[in-house]
Amino acid sequence: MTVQENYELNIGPQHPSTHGVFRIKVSMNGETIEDLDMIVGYLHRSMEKLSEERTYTQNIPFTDRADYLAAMSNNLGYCLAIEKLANVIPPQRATVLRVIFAELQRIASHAMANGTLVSDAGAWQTPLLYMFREREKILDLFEMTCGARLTTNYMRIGGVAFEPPAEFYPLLNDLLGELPDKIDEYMDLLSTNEIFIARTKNVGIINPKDAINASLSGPALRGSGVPWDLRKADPYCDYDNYDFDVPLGLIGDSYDRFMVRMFEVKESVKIIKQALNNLPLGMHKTQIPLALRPEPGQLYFRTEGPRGELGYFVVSDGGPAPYRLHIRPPSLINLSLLKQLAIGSSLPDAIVTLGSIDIVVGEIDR
Amino acid sequence: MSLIFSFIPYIKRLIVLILILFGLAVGFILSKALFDLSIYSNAVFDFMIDKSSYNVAYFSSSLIGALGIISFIGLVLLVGSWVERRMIAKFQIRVGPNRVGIFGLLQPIADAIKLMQKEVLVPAVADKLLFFIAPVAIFIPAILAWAPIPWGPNMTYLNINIGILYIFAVSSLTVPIIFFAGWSSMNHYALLGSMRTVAMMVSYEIPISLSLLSVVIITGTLNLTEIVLWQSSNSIWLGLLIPFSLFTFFFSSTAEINRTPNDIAEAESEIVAGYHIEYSGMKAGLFMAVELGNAVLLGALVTSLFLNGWFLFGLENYIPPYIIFIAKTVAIYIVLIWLRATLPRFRLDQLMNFAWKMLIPVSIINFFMIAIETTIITNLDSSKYIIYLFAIINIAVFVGLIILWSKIFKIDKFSPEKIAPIFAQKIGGIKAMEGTKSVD
Amino acid sequence: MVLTNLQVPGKELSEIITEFSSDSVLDFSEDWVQIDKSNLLKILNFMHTNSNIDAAQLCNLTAVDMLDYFEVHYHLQSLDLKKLYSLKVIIDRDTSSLPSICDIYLGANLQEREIFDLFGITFTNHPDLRRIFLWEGFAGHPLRKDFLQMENVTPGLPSFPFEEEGKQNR
Repeated sequence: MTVQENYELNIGPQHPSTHGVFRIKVSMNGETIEDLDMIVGYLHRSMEKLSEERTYTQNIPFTDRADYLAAMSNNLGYCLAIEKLANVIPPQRATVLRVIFAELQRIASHAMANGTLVSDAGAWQTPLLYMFREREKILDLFEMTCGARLTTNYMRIGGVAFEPPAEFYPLLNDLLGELPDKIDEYMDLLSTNEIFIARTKNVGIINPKDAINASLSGPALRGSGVPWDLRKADPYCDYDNYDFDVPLGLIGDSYDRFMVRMFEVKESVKIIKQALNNLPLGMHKTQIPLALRPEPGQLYFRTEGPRGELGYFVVSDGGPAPYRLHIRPPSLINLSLLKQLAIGSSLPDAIVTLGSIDIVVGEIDR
Repeated sequence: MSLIFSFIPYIKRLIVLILILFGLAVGFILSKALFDLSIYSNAVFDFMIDKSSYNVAYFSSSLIGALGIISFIGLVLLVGSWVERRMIAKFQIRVGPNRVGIFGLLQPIADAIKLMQKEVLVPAVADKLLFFIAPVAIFIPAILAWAPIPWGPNMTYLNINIGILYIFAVSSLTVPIIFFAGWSSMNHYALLGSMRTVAMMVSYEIPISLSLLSVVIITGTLNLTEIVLWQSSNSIWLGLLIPFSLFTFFFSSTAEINRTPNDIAEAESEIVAGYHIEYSGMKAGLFMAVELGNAVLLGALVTSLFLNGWFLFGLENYIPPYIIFIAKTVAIYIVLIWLRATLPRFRLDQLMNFAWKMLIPVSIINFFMIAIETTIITNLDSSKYIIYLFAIINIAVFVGLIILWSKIFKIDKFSPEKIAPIFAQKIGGIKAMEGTKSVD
Repeated sequence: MVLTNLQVPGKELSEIITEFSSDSVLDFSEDWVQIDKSNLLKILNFMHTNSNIDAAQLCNLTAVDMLDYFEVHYHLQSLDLKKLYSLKVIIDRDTSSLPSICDIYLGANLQEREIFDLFGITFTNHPDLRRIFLWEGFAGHPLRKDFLQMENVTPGLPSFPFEEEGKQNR
């Protein structure tokens, strides 16, 4: 008598395509996935507990380390939330500088996400390294402004930490000039590549109703065609004054999510150009008390991070440290549909789907 | 002074140029002595036959030839890995290995030393015997397959009448060995990798044999040397005469030797390293070396079967023929590196579909067409130029068949209009989305 | 008491909910509405299906330890109407349990697991209620304010979980 059993395969914690210490335990029947269990927490640093012991300003570095590929965006979301809670109004120049840096960070993050997606589809790291070329330049800009490349710690409550140096602007202009051409180059290399299309088209289709119901956000939601972008819907940092479009996907497969990121980079370039034209003179920071004590209250404030709705839920009891600080992690919540998407598909398809959703494990575990 | 400094960035290129010129000069001087290497083994044979029996003489002279081929393989493994790493680095806008020795040329030796120093881990539950045998055994077919390769007019180590069959038989030996490696590791990734390899090799043997059958039927021989001579006597490269066979052979062979875009047996992003995931140290190094050696072997096969072997428009009279042969082999190897640096990877089911639905039927059509053409050629032996006519017809049919098959299986070219962005007209949820669609 | 741009004022939301179910609003402030724990599923279902409220998406789900009790915050949003609703449920520390809303909002699955892990609030009828960040057998729930003052409990385990001494489980 033969007994047919599924076998278990541990994808991760150390695996080339889990993008960090993330583990998926799959039960396989041949090459088909029958059951899936995500195991996260290898990078849990209990940021939310630690932040209850530190002042509001001391918590900013934690937000760098939550999503280490989009530190600027996380800084921005946290500082905006605390400013709203404590009624601090940043100077106009700081707001525009914040937009510039947040959009640069979005470009860098999307370059990383798309590069690793193509690597997951099996390209021998060539597109990844091409996209790293632009990301390197952006990280160089960060380094000359705030001294750090990944964990920037640049935004402050009431402004930004430093004024960018004089040589920042010509380099940024050069970068903005060549970025659209470079994006077209990647389009030539990948978007019409038959093998890449065969690997990503119709793989991991998320229909819009499921996407909304499963709390998806960011490119994962827009890839399904839902026109929801917090920069337009709930404008912060005067995003309503900028002229940009929200690219959407057609059917919600991995290819659409890839393309949405590609086009968003072009839109980000547009935003940065407008911001540079309207950069006002003045202070880059307002003076705030060393131990900021907001009024007792609570606030849920969200921004559009590169991976989706990046929310900060802050409860203040009037003391110098937050009574409770919760980070809404888009990477974790975007994974809600992974199980439904992966069951019944083959292992390579599941890997591509995971790559197209774009997770950062530091943010999942916090 | 500043003039001298301005040359500094070009010094490396200058050195390369000087080295190449030096090599060419030395080669020209020695070309008389090195034009045909078979004279050395013949000399050994003549020397030994006076002293001892025929068998001893034959054995010792054949040892010289084997030594030559094996040392070539060893050289290829060292230089090839350096070439591959440097070239891929150039494709990926990096520098590549450049620290050990000039241009990093000693990097492969440093790698080998490092790999030998590393501990070879054996999993506790592994089948020890098979686990030990597999990396050693996989080297045997990789070296044996080099025997009937025609390097030059007299330089064929094993000039047998069934050369193609021999290579086909020997290279099939790789399948069970890879399966041993995957099975004995007791690792699910390794098992998946070896199962994929077996499935893929079994499927792709058929298109390979069909494409080789076309070569055999048109030349009327299985002997590799005679295939090369047929091409030169009819003054056409078989790659031009039967392009579809060349394409089928090349593509299917990339599946057989696990090269991109068909390297699903060791797909890094899916099953990490496939069948050799549990091997470490020099054992893993042996698998990688075999892979590289097989890639060069594919180059040698394509050269002798389709690219007219050691002939190159009369140049073979001035340059040692085996140098031309190696140059063509390296050119094919560089094409393989190029593919590896550019293309993503297929999925297993896509590859299977491609083999069974596309390659095999079209190969059969191609085979029958070539059979008809061969009949015409052999019966009309007076007209030599009919071969050129057939070459044109075959190229046209090659293109036509591809278009026809993509129509049949509805693989239409992805049009650029489809990747134009769709922009949101209105921000919102499902309702706003419906609005967007009606606008389009 | 801070309202973000899209947030519906508590008074307005409480009127809507009272209209649907009269005694379920316990308290409201400028930015949140506190609802009855027993009516939670009913109200969320109503908000999810009612086209005038259209709370299609659950943005955020989190909890706060208020020393005497737990607050669980539900942030729902309507994409079409561009509105953000903030609801709050108060539960006991001792018998801390809530009905799971996974049937209504799929996105609540992982967030409820996170709250269970870090606060120890159990969600009844949750399809897969396990710890998410910490391992099974971890003592205590770290985001409770009294985590480090618990008696006879030291955080962490003496050995790696599921490991019998001297034996590898394969």
